[in-house]
Amino acid sequence: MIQDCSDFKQGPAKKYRAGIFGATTVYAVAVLASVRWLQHNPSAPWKYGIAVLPVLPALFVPLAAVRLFREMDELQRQIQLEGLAFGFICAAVLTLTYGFLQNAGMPEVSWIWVWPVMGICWIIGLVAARRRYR
Amino acid sequence: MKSKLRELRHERSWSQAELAEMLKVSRQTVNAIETSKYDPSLPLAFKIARLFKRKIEEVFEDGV
Repeated sequence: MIQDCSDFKQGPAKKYRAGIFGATTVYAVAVLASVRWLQHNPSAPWKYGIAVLPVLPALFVPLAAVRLFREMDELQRQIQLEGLAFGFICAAVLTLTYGFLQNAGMPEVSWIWVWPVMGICWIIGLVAARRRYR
Repeated sequence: MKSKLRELRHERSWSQAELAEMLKVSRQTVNAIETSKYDPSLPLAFKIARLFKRKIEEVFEDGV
């Protein structure tokens, strides 16, 4: 979660960024290790467990985001809420629309693209909300 | 909701950043309240009134 609190409480935002950086680094290492391992052991019985291993460091992100959200001031929280609400609904409408288009013959798209769509919609919502209170 | 926050802040020669630090909010929040783009919560409104040693209705007007 991006936070622009200018001079307000740089501590929590800094801690959040450090935590995200740490989690992302562990995640990247876990992805590389998991993919490499799966290439060498494609029929191992525990391959599904190894495939989802990178999710473990990623679980840190929602916890850190909730902690940061609680430490924000009320306007920053409102801005984030408006951004997230826009991102959530916008991504739902877009993915649902594409689902209908797939029924009509558009190429199948991996579920992995849902999150980037949601992320882009969230950033658009966040920028709009920030401008509103500038 | 209209506020006299900017006026009161200027009387004390405080910057928005200084006031924000005293209120433990962001500078953007102070600016949004001053420009009537954001109505503060009741606890924050009381905190502002207490800081300027005023009654809450002396700082904020409901604009009715």
